[in-house]
Amino acid sequence: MAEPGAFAPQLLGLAIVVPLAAGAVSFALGRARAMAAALLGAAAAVALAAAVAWSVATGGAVALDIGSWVPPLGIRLAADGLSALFLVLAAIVGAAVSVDAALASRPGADVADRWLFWPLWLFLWSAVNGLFLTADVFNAYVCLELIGFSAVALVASKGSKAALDAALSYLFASVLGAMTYLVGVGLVYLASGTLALDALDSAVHGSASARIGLGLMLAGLVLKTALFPAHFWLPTAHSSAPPQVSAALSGVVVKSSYLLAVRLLVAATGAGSGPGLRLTLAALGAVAIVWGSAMALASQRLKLMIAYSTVAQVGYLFVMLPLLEERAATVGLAIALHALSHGMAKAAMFLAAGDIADAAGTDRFDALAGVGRERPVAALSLGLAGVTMLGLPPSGSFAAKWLVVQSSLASGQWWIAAVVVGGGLLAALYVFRALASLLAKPDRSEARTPKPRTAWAALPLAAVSATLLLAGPAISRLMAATSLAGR
Amino acid sequence: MNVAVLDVMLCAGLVWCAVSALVKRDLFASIVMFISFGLLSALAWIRLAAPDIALAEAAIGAGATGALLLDAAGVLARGDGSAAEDAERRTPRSANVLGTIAAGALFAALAWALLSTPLDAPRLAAAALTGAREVGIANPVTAVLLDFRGYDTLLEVAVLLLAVMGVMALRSGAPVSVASHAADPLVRLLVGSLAPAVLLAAAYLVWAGTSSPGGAFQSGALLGAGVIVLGLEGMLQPMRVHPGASRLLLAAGLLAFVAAALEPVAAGRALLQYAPYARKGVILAVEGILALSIATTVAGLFLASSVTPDRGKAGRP
Repeated sequence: MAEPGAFAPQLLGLAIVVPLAAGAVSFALGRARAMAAALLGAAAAVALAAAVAWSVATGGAVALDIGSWVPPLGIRLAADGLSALFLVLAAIVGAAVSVDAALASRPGADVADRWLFWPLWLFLWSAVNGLFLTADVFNAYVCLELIGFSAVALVASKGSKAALDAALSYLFASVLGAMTYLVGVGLVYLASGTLALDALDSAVHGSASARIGLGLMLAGLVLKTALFPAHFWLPTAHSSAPPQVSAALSGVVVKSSYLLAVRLLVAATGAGSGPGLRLTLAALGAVAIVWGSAMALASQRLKLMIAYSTVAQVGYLFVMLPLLEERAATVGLAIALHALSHGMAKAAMFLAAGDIADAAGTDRFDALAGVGRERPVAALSLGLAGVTMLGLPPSGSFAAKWLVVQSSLASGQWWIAAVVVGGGLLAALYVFRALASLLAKPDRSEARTPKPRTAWAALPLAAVSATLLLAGPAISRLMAATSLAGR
Repeated sequence: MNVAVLDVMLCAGLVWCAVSALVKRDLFASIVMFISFGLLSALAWIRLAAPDIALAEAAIGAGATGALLLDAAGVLARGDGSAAEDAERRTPRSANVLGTIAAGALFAALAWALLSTPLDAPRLAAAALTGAREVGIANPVTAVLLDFRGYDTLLEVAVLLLAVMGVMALRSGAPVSVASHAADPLVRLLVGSLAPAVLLAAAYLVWAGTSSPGGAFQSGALLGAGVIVLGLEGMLQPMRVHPGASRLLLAAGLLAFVAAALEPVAAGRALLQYAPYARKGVILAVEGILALSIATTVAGLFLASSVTPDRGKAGRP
């Protein structure tokens, strides 16, 4: 407690344990007071994420050995600029999701009946923070488990037959991914005797079984991140969940397993995760961009379209990987910018879509004509989020794509630039198609019953994402405290 | 020599149970094989000198999971049977073949990886043993679970609470209710006289955990199993728990653990860095409360799912 910086490591633990505690309290309090406790916890989680980002920006990377047990015996939490930015992403999306859920749960609304949303949601938030911060591959498995089970329960909480079916296949995919990852962890530990992420390189070096282990860990994470062709569970799960849940899943949850995959690739750069592995992942990412965009264009429902768009946007995160080794700083910045702007924009789209489906009674495109006039805030949010999907300035994804195109041309891998630019054109098609149907002249004149809910939470989210370039200096400063260069 | 014969039989039995659990057409028979598999693997863990895992495997892997599976099979059988047939029909042959090939390839890769791993590679066991001696916890497993990697266990406890929440979310947050049948007087007598013994054994397992095999998970699972038996025999009806109190009981373990994790932070130490003089007491207290919560969780999972089908469907759109 002597100097102000001395408390910084403690913030990492608090960013995980405080929302977890709030979730448990919210559960214990039950229906009447669950929301109040959870909102307090959400406010604390936002403050803690901001504090971590501030201390990384001013004092550089932070680490905490839990219980003062030094790895490999103990578990270390570590925050560099990239983890801090992902914490901030979770905080911004989390705040919007919490506000939207609070607005939606007036007495009498069906959400009020689902009070378990609050403890489940705080558990999910705590677990993604845990995955962003952990420097231990087994602890990461526990976080993945916590994320998977809370997310599945949240999808199922809608209660409809479609939601239950989607939750079940989500559960199978999630458990299969986590088990594959865990078997990989077992092999790596057998060969190396350590679970510390930063000791992975020497472990994988020279051991064939550790290399198989690393492959299994990555395979599990690819399934969790829904990279093509392991995306099969995502469109149904993300499109049939309640809107706030879809927003959290597409905005933050897929990025959590992605971040761990990047950490693994970087930690094992020296051996095993060489150019071949990164090229394979990038090729899958390229197919994901094309396939996800095509399916988004072909879908007949707004939420399904947004979910397929996530499949495509996940592709961008992987397509940059071959450039990471050569240009770690630039591509690291691109990863942060893309993850942040897509996370916020996609959450805004799902929240807005929830509002639109509320007004129209369905999210089928053929029934949405004119709903944009009834729900201008939602339509505007969708439009602003579309700016990010297309990668137009001054959105964060514009900057990300700019950096990737530059790096890929400079290193002669022009195909990456082609995919990135082409993907933006495909996104334009599906975004304009959704907006066109919302803004079309209504085909029937009778007024729909007005509902008092408005997607107020979606608008700032979409606006921040579309103007993320303004936060460029702050993001660059945080990324300066990050090394993705490998060893 | 004799022990070697026993080991070979144990391995053969494990493989046989696993295969028959998979290929049996009858759901009930394959669950019985699954439970036998759990019991045999508990024996295998004892042979591998890991009694802590053996206890957990017997109580949770074979006991609680087996009970849940039997219960689910019962619910399926009570329906018109269409659900089970549906599941049977929906798996196309090509998927089965592909799945078998993928599993075979994975098995080959794993077998090769395991065989090529040197047995003398460095492990953390020695460090854990030394560390446990230093902090004065005689059972190194407890030292790892509650101290060195206490943070992992804290999150695992949250997973347990999540499981209950998931079941409750599926039932629209309805409180747990117990389906029971009129009990046979002889069974009632047996169960009634068994209950105090279960309680005593559970308390002993928590107490023993700091020095010898045992601990919150084993104790909680045992206690939970006792409650399940009592519930099935209809002996819980008079002492039905208030929903608020049962929620508190479910969350108490996690809350106590969180308090033990945060207290050091307030005192200027690292997260989960117990005060040296209070270490044993804190661990014992956390384990005691955890055992109660785990027992409630195990019992709650089972009793919450064993409502009559009509009640289960009520309130579902």
